[in-house]
Amino acid sequence: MTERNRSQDKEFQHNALALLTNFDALVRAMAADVPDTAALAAQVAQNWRALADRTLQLEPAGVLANGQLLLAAKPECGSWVPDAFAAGLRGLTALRDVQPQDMTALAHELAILTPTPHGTDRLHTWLWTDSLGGFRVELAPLAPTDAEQRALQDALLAPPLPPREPPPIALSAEESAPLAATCNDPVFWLAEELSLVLTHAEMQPDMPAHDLARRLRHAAAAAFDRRLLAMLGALAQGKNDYARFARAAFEDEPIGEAIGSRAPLDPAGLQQIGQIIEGLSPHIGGGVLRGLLARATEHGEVLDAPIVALATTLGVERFVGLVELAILAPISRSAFGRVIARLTGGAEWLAEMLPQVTPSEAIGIIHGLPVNLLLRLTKPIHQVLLRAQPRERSQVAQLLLGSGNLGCLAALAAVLRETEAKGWELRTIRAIYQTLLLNNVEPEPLLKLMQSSRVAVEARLVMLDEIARSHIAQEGLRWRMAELLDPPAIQERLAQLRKHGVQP
Amino acid sequence: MSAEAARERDAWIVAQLVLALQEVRPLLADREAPWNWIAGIHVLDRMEQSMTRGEDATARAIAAMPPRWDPAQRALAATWRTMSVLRRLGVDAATTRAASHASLAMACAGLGQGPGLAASDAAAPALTRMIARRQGESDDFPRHRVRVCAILHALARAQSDQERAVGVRPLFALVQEMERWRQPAGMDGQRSETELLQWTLAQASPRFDAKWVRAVVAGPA
Repeated sequence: MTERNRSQDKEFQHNALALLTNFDALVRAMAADVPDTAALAAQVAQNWRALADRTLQLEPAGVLANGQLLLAAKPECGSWVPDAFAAGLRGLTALRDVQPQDMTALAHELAILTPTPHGTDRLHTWLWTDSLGGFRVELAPLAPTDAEQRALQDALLAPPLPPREPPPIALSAEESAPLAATCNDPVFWLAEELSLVLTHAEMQPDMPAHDLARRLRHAAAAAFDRRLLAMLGALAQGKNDYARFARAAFEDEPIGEAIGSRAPLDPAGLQQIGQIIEGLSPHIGGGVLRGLLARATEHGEVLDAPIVALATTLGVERFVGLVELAILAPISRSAFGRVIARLTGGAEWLAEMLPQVTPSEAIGIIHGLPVNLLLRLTKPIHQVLLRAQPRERSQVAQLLLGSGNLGCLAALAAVLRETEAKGWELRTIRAIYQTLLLNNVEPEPLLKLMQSSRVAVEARLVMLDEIARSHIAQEGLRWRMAELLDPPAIQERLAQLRKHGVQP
Repeated sequence: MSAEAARERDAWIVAQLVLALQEVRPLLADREAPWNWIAGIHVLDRMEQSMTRGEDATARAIAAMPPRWDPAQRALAATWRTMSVLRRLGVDAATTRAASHASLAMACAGLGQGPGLAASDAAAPALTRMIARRQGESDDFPRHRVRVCAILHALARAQSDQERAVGVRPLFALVQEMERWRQPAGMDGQRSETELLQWTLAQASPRFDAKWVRAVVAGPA
């Protein structure tokens, strides 16, 4: 075993021991009716999820992890292990998303387990009927009863079983695969079970709303299809208590994002999404829209149209309110801006919104805007630039310079002058001067800024170099009385440029 | 496997099926009574353990049941057939168990002397029994109960052939129908397993999804 393997093994043992200690404490706490075990259950779930190998094996003597006995069954701890073994429990593998409530359910069953045939039979049945969520269970048969022993003795005295004729046909893998997929389809079962509990209210306690919400989210995240939208739509519009409880349960599940990021965006799908947004809470509606915007970010403008259609039905104000810019992923803000820009009244909304958001958020929004809209938003962008950090200013400058629009360039020049080039990165000042002078945008003010004693020397040197390369080089390098008061670095650079010109 | 070990395994499977049959009979005795879930689960557990020990031996033990083919035997055969098909297809254990339980309940509701009820007619009374809680019944397997009842609910409410053909629904209808055909009206005696499979292959295809017919008839290898 290498040093690295030894270290990993030691770490695994340490983690598994922590899990078993906490889990045993949870079982004992539940047996003692300790009122609040939620924090301990959460800790156990976290311990189990973090384990490299999430399987534990049971033996009558105790619990093993990776073949090593880590929890010995004694009266003071692990006393439940022999009875659980007698109930047929041989192994427990926590699934990736095992939840604290799964731990609580398991610990509860072990806490009430009695060392009687009834007790072990009860636990066996509970595990056999898939009542434990979040785990894969290895279950062995119960020990034979007297009746089974007698039946076996009788069967041994009976004549042997006759041979069987082979089946008349064989089923190919190609034939069986789609049938198996149909049977294992979680969405199919979810729809069947939801239909049952919506029709038969007496079955509703067997499928609590939080369980339904969790399963819907899982199904939506795994492979979204239209049946999920139909189910969610029914719950969103449902007037009965169960639908209301389900809507409340969705608040704890990030189901909105799952819908937005995977739901079909054809007209029927959009209509169902609209119903879900209308019927469920703003929290979920916002999640749906944020999921859609994340998708639009990934797939580009091709998805803008359906989102615009959806946002149009909501209205720009509601759309903006639901999305909640502050929690929208920065990468999705560009798509958000693009969509708002295409809504009726969107430009006015953007003009009002930009000054209210952080420069970083504003940059994300204006990133996706067309030039004509940028031009209409020069005032709020001006305000954004005034509040922005040097790096953020560079990002905005890059956008405006890239637009090639003279109005946008002039707006940029105005901010540079107003700030006296303070708080700008030198490379950005250089890029602004290059582009503006090339386009002959406000050359006089740019010259004056370069000559201003209020501007930092490093910035003036960059400006001077760019002016010397431009069509106003002659004017920029002309001797002025005021340059006698300039810092020596400026004077030296002027002299150098006058003598040798601009160095490549 | 030695001949002695095979003999012991076969005897063990026969013993399990004999006990399962004993547990099915009370489920048929009072068809109005709330469903005894624990008894149903015991039947399925025995069936599953038998199949785990030997698929072929279990199939032979079912086929070799005394040829009276009373409703309890037919209910057990329907349960075995559903479980056998789903296990062979690799369907997850929870679904296989729930589906087999639904088959058992439907067979208990629909099979009597003579052919009995088709799945679409047997599902509703079976569901009524299953939803009604037995007094003192512990409430500790809700997921299983919901899935079993959901199957019966879907079969009971399916109005059209199209609805009856959705997902796994055709399997239940076919399995129930096979046990009806085992003892058709006006026929003395019953069809053997081999006759039943041949008859199913020839007759069922026009009425049932051919894929499910083939899956059922293929049987354990």
